[in-house]
Amino acid sequence: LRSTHRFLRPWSSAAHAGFDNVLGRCSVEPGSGEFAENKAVMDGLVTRMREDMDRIAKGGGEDAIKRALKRGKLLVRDRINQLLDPGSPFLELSAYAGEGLYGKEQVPCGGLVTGLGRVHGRLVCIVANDPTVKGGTYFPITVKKHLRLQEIAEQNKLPSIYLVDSGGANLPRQKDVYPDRDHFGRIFYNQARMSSMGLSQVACVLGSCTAGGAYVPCMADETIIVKGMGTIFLGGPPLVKAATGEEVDAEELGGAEVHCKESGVADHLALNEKHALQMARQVISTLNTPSIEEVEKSFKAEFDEPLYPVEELRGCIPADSRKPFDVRAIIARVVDGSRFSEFKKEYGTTLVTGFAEIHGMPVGIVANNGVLFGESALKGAHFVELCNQRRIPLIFLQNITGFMVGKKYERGGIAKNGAKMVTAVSCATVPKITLIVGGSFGAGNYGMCGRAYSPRFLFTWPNSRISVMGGEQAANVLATVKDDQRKRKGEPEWPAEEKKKFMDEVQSKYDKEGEASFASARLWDDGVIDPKDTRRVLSMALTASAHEQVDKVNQTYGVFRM
Amino acid sequence: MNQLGAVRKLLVANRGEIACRVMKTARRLGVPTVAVYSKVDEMAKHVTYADEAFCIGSAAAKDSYLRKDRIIDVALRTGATHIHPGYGFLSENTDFAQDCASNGIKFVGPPASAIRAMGDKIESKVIMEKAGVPLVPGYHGSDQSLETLVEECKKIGFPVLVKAALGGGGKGMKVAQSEDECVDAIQSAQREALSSFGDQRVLLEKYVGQPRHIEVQVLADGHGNILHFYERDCSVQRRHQKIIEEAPAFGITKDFQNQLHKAAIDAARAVGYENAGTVEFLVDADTWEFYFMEMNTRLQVEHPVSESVTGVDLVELQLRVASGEEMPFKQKDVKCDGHAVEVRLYAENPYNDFLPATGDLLRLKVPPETTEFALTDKVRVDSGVRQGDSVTDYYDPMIAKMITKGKDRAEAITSMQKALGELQIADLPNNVGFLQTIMKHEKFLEGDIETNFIPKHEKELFAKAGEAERRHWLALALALRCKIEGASAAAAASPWGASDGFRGTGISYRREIEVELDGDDAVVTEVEYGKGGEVIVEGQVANMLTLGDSKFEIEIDGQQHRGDFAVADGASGKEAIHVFLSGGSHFAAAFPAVDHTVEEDQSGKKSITSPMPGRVVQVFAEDGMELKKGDAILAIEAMKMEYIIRASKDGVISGLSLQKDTKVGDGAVLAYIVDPVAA
Repeated sequence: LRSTHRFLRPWSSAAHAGFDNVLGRCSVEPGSGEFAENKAVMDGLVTRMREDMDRIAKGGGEDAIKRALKRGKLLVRDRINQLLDPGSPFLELSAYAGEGLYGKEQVPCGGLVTGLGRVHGRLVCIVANDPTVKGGTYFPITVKKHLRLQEIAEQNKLPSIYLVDSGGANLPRQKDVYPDRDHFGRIFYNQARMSSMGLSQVACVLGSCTAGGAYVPCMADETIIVKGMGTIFLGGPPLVKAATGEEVDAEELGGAEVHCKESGVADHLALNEKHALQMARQVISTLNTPSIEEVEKSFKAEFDEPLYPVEELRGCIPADSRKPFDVRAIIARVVDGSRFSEFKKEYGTTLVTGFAEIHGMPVGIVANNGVLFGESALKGAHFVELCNQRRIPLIFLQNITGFMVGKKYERGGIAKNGAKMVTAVSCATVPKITLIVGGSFGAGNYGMCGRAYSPRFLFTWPNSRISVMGGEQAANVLATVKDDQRKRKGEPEWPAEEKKKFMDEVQSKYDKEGEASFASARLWDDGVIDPKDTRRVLSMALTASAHEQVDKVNQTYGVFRM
Repeated sequence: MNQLGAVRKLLVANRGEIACRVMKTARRLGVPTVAVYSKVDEMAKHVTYADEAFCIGSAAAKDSYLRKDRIIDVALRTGATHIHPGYGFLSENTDFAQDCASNGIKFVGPPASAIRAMGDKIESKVIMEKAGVPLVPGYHGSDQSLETLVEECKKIGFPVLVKAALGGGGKGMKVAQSEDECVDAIQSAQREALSSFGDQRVLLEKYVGQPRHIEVQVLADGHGNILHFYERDCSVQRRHQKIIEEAPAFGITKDFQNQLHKAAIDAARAVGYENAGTVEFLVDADTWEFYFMEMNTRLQVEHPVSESVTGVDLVELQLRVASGEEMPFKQKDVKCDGHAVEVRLYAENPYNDFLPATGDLLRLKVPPETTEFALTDKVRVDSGVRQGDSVTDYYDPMIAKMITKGKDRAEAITSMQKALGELQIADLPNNVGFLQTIMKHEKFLEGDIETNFIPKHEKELFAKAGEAERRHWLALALALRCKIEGASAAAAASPWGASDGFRGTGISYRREIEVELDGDDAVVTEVEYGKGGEVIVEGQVANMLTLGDSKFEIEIDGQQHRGDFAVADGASGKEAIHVFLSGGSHFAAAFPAVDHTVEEDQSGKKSITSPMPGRVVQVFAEDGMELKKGDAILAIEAMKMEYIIRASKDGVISGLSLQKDTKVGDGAVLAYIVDPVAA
């Protein structure tokens, strides 16, 4: 058991020894054939994901990269690397964004790299345009991704840094990015509101900021601009010429010197990109906000690593999603010392609930262990209420085919009991973090804190599937409906071959649309993670969530026993 | 139990390793010791070796270790019967020896008269000449006629060195290889002497082409016994200071050896010598002639090599003799067994003209089989500092001496090579690597050495490691740095605290790190954190196999390395990692803090503009002047305030033509700063 010290504290985790709450291997035997089989499948998925990421990391492609480098620009991730504390981690979000969304047009990463990282010991949200992707212009998914990061900053009370290098809205797609509530304008609306909440926003103008893009630095609290590189103007030289006939070059119109010395639009004049990033770091160091270390002070000083290696998570989940498995195998490889204090262990056993710690931070875990029955839903509701009352963050481990169907269950009021769970989850104000480790189907997605329930973060494993129901079920349902229609119309019996073809098509469509990368491309989650990074990513997300001080219990009622 | 009747208490008027070494023997003999120290030496190693210790003044030697009065006062107050002066400081100070005597304290060394006699270069030559000790043949008569000088040259025998009488620094110094060159050499030397020193007198000396420095250790008691303890070769020198010493001298015949020993004993007897001393000879390796140079009337730095081959504790003998005892053995009992080599470990920069260095000894790890201050067949290290101590510029920058012994020279050298490889010194520039290079040099191994050894083989000795090796080191240093960062942050337990470059996406993390390898100029190197935890530097894949607090095992492109490391936290603004590879290679990588505020202007030219309208009140710089960043260029007065315009970077000033009282406008270009190369 490897113990890690956070800060020197008088007590030690040894005090916990003796409690009968240490999980075993939970049927995952690393030497077994089943494990090897599971792992092989997962390894394949992870490898594919890594390949995708390597491709996505190339942004707008070799030529665009060469052009940017030739102009003396840093590539977007190198900008971020330079901004962050040396060697520190970066939790990049939604790298699959935009994947396959616009037909032949490739918008890798949605043209925007976002994530959380450490600057001068403080946790910050970073939004960085990738100018190699369509000149950094905003596609609909770019807007969505930008707004999502602002949402994260707002929910978790984190300062933001915008590394701006964007041509503004993607003009051919103006109808999908310009006017609606959650379109471009919302970015500035959020900037103003977040600023009023005391959430600092720093903009670093590293390239052009035209039109709408100009408002990002203008709405920021403090703005840095790079000499000879950064420009800010509402209308660029071509527009100016068209509108007034005035001929002016970009530098004269809205260059760094103009804005720092004359207009005052920008506050700091940087000599080069690295200087600008160094200045942004400097600005962050002046914020009167707690450092990560200060935030973590409320957590345990010492904790143990899980008893079993996190790498085994790749072999935990059956390659065949229909095969049942004990979700405690995952919990045992994620929580401190593999210690898990289960709640209502003998009741509603298809939902596993209990208390644990991750990196010394207390968490309540809600994990699927089969289909949801009425009892499981009641247990879930009860446990979520408990965590909310105790101000303990919740972690949902989703692997759910849905709520049980059938006469017995409908009569047992499963809909009503499921609603209780959805209500509890919806109203809980403690940080909620969701991880989809397998299927996420039907109303199970809702009860288990899907995207619509505003978890602080939602990650998925590469094997995860998300859809209203399984492809096979959907094919059956749709075939039955169609068969019935044919019968009603008195048409001849549907040839088995045609029916099979129809069902196969439905299933393959569902399969494709249920894939993790498909979901992630649309920002239904915050990113796909390697199972072995689960503990790390969850702890990073938990620390981020802890930046919001939630001490007040906001329940109108006490905990309803269920 | 005090074994020396007369030495009731010994004061050691010195510091560092020699003070420790003397006190170690005194302690063994049961003699109580007194240390003296300067204010900065309050916590020094030698203070901890003594039974009593007294502060005798401030850091500068002249205010402490050279204060005869205070030292004698301490001796009188503590009841010390004897004072051992060590080497340096007051060891060859006639007045001090005199003052000791007049205060009834026995000076552990020769009588003042012997010190005086040997200290005077002319007097000593006269005495030596009388005693039949060979001197460098020469002429320093007042007859400066060309004929006389040529005649004297012929008498001396060619080659002859013609030197300006008032010369120095090589000026007015000529070598006449043969009679043909003689007149030219003399006249040329005279001309130079006249123009440089205003005096054209010259003197003549036998020119020794391949000089070896061989010295004989002698020790005399007050009962008329003078013994020699064989000779030492101290030919390898830098800046006229010995750095490698050996005993006995190698490649000399028994007969020659006997001649040397006899001459040394004759020399000592001629001045009525008592206690330990060294007679130094210049040996012409071409002709096997030797000449008396001087006698050092004290124990020398390099005495351990003699102790090593003779098995005699010279300090013990010094104390016994000073106690009035008769030498406990005869010359025939002094045997020379095997071969010993000593290196002097200095805090200095061999690659920068051996400039002494100062700083903290973050790491001082000696080879595992080390004994301090004592006879041993393993490795002897005599050091006056401990890990954590500082080397200051107040005193000699010697960190330690290391001595190895073998049955023959080759074995002693092999053992020294190994010991140097195991020695770990950081975070101070030092000569360990340089000594390693010498210890592996073909000519040194052959024994083909002379006092010009270092300048003669300059090219090989100062060559830096090869390109491939340096590339490898770079990868090693950077991988080590990245992994140390990652490891230390992981101990902080925060998922955000780790410095492992974690990227959930698996998109590799790249960063630029500025490195100075072994004192070279900084280079910016890109480091990539691989997906399997490896670090990639210039295409080399470095996999850390194990990483401890000070040990590591790494694989670079399939090649494994093991070693120790020490991290210096950069008091000088530069973090550094010192790497000691188990193969014996040592290197250091420093990481300067990066400043991006310097404008990267392609032309290397930067304009200096006026920040406001005003009037030039003073011009400090001149056009074409080389300036450092921050140097004042001119002063402008505006709004009753004076503003100094300073250089924004290092460079040469150009286009500065403003005069006092010239009016300048806002933003007016006052001058340019150009990179020195561009200029």
